[in-house]
Amino acid sequence: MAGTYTRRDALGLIAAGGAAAALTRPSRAAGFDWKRFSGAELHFMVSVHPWTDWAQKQLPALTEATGIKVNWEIIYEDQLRQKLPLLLRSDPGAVDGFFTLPSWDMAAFSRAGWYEPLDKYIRSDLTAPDWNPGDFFPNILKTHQSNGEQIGVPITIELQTLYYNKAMLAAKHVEVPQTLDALMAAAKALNDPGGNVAGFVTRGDGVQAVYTLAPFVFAHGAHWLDDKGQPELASPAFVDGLRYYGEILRAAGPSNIVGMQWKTTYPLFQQGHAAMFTDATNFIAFFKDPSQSRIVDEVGVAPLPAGPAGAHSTLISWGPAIAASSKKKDATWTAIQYLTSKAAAESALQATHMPPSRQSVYNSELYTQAVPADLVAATKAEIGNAVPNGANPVVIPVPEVRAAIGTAIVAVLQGKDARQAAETAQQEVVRILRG
Amino acid sequence: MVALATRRADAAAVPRRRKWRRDWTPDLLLAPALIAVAAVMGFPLVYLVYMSLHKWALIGYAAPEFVGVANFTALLDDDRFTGSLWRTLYFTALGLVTNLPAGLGIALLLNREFFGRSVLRALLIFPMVATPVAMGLVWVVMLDPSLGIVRYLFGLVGIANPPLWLSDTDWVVPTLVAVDGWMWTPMVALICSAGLASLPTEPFEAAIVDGASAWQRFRYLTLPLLMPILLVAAMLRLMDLLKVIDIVYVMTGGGPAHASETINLYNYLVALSYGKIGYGAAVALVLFALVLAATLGLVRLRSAS
Repeated sequence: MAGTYTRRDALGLIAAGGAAAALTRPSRAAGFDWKRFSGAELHFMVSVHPWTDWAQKQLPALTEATGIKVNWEIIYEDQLRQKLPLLLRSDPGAVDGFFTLPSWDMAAFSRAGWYEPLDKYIRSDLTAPDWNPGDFFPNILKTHQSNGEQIGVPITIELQTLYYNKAMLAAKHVEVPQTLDALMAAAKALNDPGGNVAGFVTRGDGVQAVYTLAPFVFAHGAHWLDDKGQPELASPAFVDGLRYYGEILRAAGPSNIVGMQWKTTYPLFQQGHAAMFTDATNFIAFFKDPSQSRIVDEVGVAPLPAGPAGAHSTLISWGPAIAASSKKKDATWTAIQYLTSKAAAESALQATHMPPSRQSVYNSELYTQAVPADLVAATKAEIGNAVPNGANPVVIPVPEVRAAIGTAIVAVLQGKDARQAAETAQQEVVRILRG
Repeated sequence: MVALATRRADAAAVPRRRKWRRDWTPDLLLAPALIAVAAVMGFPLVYLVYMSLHKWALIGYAAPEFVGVANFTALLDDDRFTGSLWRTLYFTALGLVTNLPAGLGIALLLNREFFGRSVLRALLIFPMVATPVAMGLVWVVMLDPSLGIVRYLFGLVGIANPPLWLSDTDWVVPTLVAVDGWMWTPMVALICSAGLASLPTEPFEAAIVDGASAWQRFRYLTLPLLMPILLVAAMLRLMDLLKVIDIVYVMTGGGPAHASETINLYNYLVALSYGKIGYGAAVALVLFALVLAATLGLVRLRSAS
């Protein structure tokens, strides 16, 4: 087994107990009354997700500890986005808590007033003293903040990172790139079309590539939106980032990069047909799984290379929130608090293998011993400078805006002018946001 | 004469009430079916029209607002809509002109006796029964230049650099038509096969006696006799091609840069992904009208033939 990872190791699974383990009582602090809202019955609407699956298994323990009964309705993400707004608008009190991805939901939900601001609960005696919001990475808390108010509790961290094939870099004496210039040079040096190896690969499908483009435009100093929430896609920095994305993939990407979705990019890297790859941190599972990966021992992880404006990854997280229309908000907060305590985060880590949002759990051996050391180092280096909810512009019509930006990405991948593509995208997004 | 007179007398003897009842009985018997059709087809259609006249956001912070035909006039200025409309017609035309001759050819081949015919016929079913989504994903991998087998096979016959099937905006629709055809041409073949088996043998025997060549027999006997069956196959393919969404969604998501976005996919994106239910209803009605018009055209062609 030495030197090889099983998928479970890669994912950070500590086998014993795992999903079945009910978490230990979340708070030992004297004086906090977990049973204060005993007898309440709550309705949570959540999407299919490893964390919601884990949480569902904790509900009997939650009822025992708090006396609160939770009806945990799990539906697919698309259906949640359709059904939840209908219920929140038409039937106040029907939903007490829900699962939210702010990079996608926050603009619409905030404008509709569906999030209950949480700060007043966190600061009150409704919160156990050892729940400790200071334990969360500060930047991950920001993913669940609207106008400075906490509206949800992030449960994991998802960043983007640079993956590289150690053997390929060593064979050509290429250093792990730390800057975008070095990345471009390395990608060109490693590119070997004759040998069927691309120097660098990331997403080429317009709608999907908005996510992977983000760090490249951030590294040039660009932002999706200005301070007033208006698109800023024609700025010189954005054009530079977009141009770079097109150039590196045209120079050293696979020949069929145009239209490539993540489900076709990661297999290239995984099967030894690409030397470097950028995408979300959780792709490590695909590369460390010996049953499907040819590069289990060769995969290296490094922080995203820095551009003129530094290195800025994207940071997103799902998490539970309280419905502003709920008639049992205090009890709902008690339930959310129970499911996001430190003990809960440890239990969830063992069951879901996802990087925890609490620093104490992230830094514990429970996590650091279970995943590759370079992944821990890379994400630690990135998290402070990552852009919360940077995966796409946080606007109401996210999918439509992503499609408009995606058209610009495809244009540069086809060799068209970056400035013109960016300006067209800017006009299109302004038009979409106007409604 | 006697019988006629008796019948007249009987008719006169029937009381008014019974006559009334006899007239309405068939309608009453049909009523359950009519009500069911109205409920499951009529109501959604009427509601679709109602929605298409509103600005209606799925993400519900604003109430639906009546806008008249504004959604339909907006369609005319929507490049993605007009693009997807023409693309769908191109997709459909390309599908029909390739699937029908290929299906008929396979059927003619299967119509002859040869070793392994029944095995071949069974194999034909496979692409049809496979899940389109799974098949789409398999084709994505097969067409990938680095990972797939297609490029290798082209290399064997001396074509080192075949087109970048799904990444080339000019090739993406023909490639999707080919994958769709791989799945559904066997259906055309089976329909034609059944049609061929039901043709009378006498005209063919007479034609052979008269010295008609194989081509003449096909051109002047098989094809005209098979035409009603071919039109049924064409109608089924036409409806499927106009509505195509599954393989496009899975294989390209409409990309690159909307180059493979069909009207049904655009409809899905607008209504359920972008949450513009009213506008999406307008797109759906255009698609509905398109399918209806094309189908009625073929039905007329069939009755004429």
